Amino acid sequence: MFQKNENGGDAMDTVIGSSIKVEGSFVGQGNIIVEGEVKGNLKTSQNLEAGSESKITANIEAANALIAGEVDGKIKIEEHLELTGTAKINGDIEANVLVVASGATINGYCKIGAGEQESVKESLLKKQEEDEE
Amino acid sequence: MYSYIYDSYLSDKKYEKSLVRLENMVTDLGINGPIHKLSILKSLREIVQDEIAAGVNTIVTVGNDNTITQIIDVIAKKNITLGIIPMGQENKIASALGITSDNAIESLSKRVTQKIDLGKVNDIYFLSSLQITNTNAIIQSSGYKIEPRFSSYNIDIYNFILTANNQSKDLSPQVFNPLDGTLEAVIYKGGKESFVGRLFKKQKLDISTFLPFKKLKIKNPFSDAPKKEGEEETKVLVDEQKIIKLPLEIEVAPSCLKVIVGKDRNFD
Repeated sequence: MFQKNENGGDAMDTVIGSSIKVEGSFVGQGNIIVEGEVKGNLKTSQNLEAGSESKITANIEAANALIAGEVDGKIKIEEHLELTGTAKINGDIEANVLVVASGATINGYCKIGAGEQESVKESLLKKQEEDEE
Repeated sequence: MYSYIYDSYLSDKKYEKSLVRLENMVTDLGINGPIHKLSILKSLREIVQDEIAAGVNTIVTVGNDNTITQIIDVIAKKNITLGIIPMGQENKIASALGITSDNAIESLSKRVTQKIDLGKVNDIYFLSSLQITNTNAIIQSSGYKIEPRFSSYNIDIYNFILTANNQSKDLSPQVFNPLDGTLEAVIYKGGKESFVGRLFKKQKLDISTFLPFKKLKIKNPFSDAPKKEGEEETKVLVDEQKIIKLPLEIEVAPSCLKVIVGKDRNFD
């Protein structure tokens, strides 16, 4: 929790704890950890971690993200997005790499890597085919 | 040129020997100067203004945390260096700056200074922290607001923490660094013990909110509504000394205070 960010910058991790609700456009300079509720927009040039109890009704932008909670909104991740088994996403996803654990739910379109936008179903089918080869 | 301000409680006879010893030592080191003893009749603000006009560039407080918190608000942003000689009880500020009664005069003579940030709340400068307990207050910053999700919460605002270095290793005191140009808000579920106090007592904490910021406002959620009879106003403890009331406008005042520090300070 109390660490300098990985890039060695001065910005500290911001933690949105379980006891609070944030409304509006929240722009962080360092890593953001969400365990509470966010409504509006959530943006950081660094990494985002949303815990299993988190509830985000917002458009999200970050460099990398690990999501275990609920998100209602568009997710735009520059690099790596990981959804754990407890993640519930209602919204479109854009990321370079997407990792989805068993149990996660996604209701939206995914645009992964440099390719064309494809539905989650298509992306999952593609992944299944690749695994079988 | 040095000027010394003695707090009023030092007129007690038990400090007489310590003060004579101090005066001899500063004379031997050539860092002596005029001495002002605070009393009901002598305002700290007037003394400081007179000394600045007389060309003093270093004001040394001889006293405790209360003496320092009084003078911070007077000398902030002025071209004055603050020296500290702790005497008596409650010297957490001096300790956080690496100054103890044993090394104070040596530190004064070595004159290692740092320009540190201060916090500013409703035009009052503070050095260490603000504490608001069991409140439903709303926090507003540019573009967003924060409110309690379930019930009341505690809000602590830190510039740096008032603990000796050896006690605060687990806390990563660098996070609460008065050289980083930010303040830090820590928000956690209710209770009277401060966030830092709970950490030292190793009490279990719920996941707390940790928010570095430069400027924000804190106000009561129903501040426009008429006050109910018997309803208590939310109190805010400034630097563990003064009490003020909501609403608050808080901002960091970067590199605002030039202070003489010791080797074992809480920050670098």
